[in-house]
Amino acid sequence: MDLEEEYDKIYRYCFFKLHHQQMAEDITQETFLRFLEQKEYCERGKKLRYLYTIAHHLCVDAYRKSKEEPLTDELPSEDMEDDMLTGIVVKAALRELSREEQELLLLRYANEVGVSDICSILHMSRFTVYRKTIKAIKQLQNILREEDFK
Amino acid sequence: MKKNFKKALQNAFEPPMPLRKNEFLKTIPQPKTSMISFMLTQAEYLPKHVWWSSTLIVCIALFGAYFLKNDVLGIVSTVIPFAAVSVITENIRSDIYMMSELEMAAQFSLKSVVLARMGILGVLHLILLLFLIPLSSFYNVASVLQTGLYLLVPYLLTITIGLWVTRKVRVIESMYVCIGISACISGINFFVQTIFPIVYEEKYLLNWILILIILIILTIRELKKDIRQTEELIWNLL
Repeated sequence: MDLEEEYDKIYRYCFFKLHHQQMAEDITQETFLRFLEQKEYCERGKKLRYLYTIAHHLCVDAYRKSKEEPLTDELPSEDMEDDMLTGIVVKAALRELSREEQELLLLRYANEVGVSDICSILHMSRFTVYRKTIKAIKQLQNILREEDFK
Repeated sequence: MKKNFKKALQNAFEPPMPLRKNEFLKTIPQPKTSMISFMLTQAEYLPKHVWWSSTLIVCIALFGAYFLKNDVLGIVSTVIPFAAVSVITENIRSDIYMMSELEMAAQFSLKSVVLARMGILGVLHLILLLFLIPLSSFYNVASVLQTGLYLLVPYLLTITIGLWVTRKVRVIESMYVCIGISACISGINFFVQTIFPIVYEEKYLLNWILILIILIILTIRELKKDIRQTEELIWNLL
């Protein structure tokens, strides 16, 4: 497993969940530390599912905690500004999708996670994953002008 | 899905650059691999022809046992040198494809990779022989001990000569030489069975045991030399 590549993907996933750079990075690191503590998972495979499961649980914990202790708003960095400018249309369109659909698209297309792994991360059947992905893409394409992205 | 749409989606999910990634990755230890998982990983890299040749030999043995009954031992001992070729070719694969330099940069040393693959092949052939010896013995007048000897001698002879050749000439041609050697041993085996079946009589059992012991010693010697040469090769490349 390429730790560097997986770090970026888990970080992307955590940032999607929390929308907070520092927290997302803390949780990414915590995810890897917990993952490496569990030796048996390193040996038996299914590493990706395990990583995402840890990240998901840690994000849920952090989200609950952040409700009690509200986090200070972060100023967007230069990178963030560029990113916001380039992807502003798609981001706005994505916001119109449900949270679950967004997560599905993130896992499938941004993090390029395999369908079988997505099934176990999101606790869905293969058929449901396919159906929801197609529905989300169609919805997204309808929101974005069809001539641009179809 | 169109490329630009996928790219736009990826960009939309792109978070700000992580600030402490490199520091963190430097501090965490790389997970260690256990012996079993290392062996399993190496088994995946064994070429398909190794598995196919073993399966083919089992099929030939079953076919022989079903249709030819008494001659099954002769057939199995004729084809067994071809199984031995896979051990030799696997041993020198990185050399003949000139991959030693690349393998040096890999996580595991060339020596451990070669030893692991030889070990896997050894176990595979042991299972193969454990299946073939009783099967051949069942349809033949020869005892299990005799059957074992008649199968192990051509097998070890192929390995000993093959290892000696590949130690001397570590190029792609040596692979073809090994295939030729196994074909020769197979042919000689068939010739002896047909022309001098007397050597398979029980009174020559001691001679067969002696030959087997000599071949075991020679195989171990060749393997040791081969491992030493692999180490020397690494030093030469450094």
